[in-house]
Amino acid sequence: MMQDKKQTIYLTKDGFQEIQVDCDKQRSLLIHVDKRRFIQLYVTYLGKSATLDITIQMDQGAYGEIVFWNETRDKFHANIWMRGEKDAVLKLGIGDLSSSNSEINICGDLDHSGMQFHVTTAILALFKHVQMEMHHKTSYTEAVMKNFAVVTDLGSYQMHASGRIDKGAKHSVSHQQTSVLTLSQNQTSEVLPILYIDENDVKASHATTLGQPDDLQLYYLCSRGLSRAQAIALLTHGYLMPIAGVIQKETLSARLADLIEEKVMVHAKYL
Amino acid sequence: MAVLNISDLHVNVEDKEILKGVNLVIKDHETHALMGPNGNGKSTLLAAIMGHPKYTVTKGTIMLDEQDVLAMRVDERSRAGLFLGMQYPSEISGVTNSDFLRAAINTRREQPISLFAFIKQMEQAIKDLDMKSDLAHRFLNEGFSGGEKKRNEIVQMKLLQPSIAMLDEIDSGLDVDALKLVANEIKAMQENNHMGLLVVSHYERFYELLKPTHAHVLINGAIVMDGDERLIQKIDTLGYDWIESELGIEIQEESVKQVSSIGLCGVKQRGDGQ
Repeated sequence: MMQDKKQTIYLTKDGFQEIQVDCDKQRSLLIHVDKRRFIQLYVTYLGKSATLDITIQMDQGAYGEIVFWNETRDKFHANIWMRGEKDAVLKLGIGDLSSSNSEINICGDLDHSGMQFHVTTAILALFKHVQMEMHHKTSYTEAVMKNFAVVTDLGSYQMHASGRIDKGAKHSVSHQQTSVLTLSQNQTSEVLPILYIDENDVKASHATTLGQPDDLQLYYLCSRGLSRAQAIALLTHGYLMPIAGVIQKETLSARLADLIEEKVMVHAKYL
Repeated sequence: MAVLNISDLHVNVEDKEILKGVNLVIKDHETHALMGPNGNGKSTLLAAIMGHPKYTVTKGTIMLDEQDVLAMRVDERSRAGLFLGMQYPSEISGVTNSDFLRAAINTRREQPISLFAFIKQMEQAIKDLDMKSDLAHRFLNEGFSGGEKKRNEIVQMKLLQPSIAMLDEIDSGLDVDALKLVANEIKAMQENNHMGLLVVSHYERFYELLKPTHAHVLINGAIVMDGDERLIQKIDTLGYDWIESELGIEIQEESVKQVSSIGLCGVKQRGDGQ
């Protein structure tokens, strides 16, 4: 029987940290950011397959930039809970360009005023299904969901993203945007943007784009000497790059840009 | 020595013949002005030479030196030395100018250009075109003004060093100072690498700065008149009507597409004439 192996990371000092999580050995992770801390955390998941529960607790006035980067190989199932206190701000990035079949559930409870959760996902999809809900339970809370996906041949991508605003959660802000680039006719992509709004005095929006690379853009890139595969790789790279800006740290951004380039070139050379 | 030789070129767009037998030879260090009323095929000619997928060549040949251009893909045409400065350059979000141009330069080299050498070249080109220093880090043409887009085309041309460059209304959107700057940069580049130029513009002022060696008038899908700078000046003064009279031809008006409903909104085409 699988043992429940827990790890807790207390972040009590400002600054950048990087950790690796061996999913074969670990099942649960709690990240706790102390009040009024400014933290940046880059977490890489390694291993063959995993079912992982992750809780992020942001104390009052804490500010966090956290990126989870999936490098598991076969199967990845993650449940991510985002919680916090008054004026806590969390910018979360989920990068999954792995070969794993992934199912990711993300829940954000916005139950103190001044809380902000911004979630950015960048996904290269063979089989990646994501469910996300940002729940506004009180006034003056903000959630922004930005999802970028590139779906390859025979890929399957699902993004069900919802913003839920309860009665009384006045002045809440809930925005979501999902952009999907499909590289083949033989793929399935499903984007379901949902807004449940039970309050009048709020701002909410959703936007979705889904389609193949633009022929005119490809022509433009090719007209400067890039092959079609190189042009698609460049477009794909650009599509996924927002994840590299979640943590405002130049060296990490450059590393992520290189990682994205490496992954997209693997797919582009077969186009 | 680069020679672009276009012979009896016929081009269709969506089954409509736009070019009906164009003949043109451009040699290195020559500057050819291509003029004509709107909708007569100037941009079609340039796009067909570059290999735009919308345009189908039904007859004729395009040779760049000994190479059959029509047998090449778009990227191969570019690497062979052709460049098209576009009238409406694409905006590409997420792709920075520097990533794009470095990739484009590397397609022409066996060994990738060093970062240092690339930055030096790009910064110089940006400075020469008097563009903002953050150009390299901005997404390709996204949020650019009309003039910035056109100058960015010239930045690309400077870095890619084509042997034959085609410029499709590259002067539109440029103010007087920028027009002069761009023209000077094009001339300086031509002095340096002897590239041949095929330039489409409606403005005599731009041609005055570029000093074309040849001028051509394209009407109804064919080149009907050749000349030099004097032909450009005459057209600037008199328009195209005198060519109709002199050659006994009638210029076909640019067709205007009718707006039609696709049936998805409240405004639907009604069969009962109401």
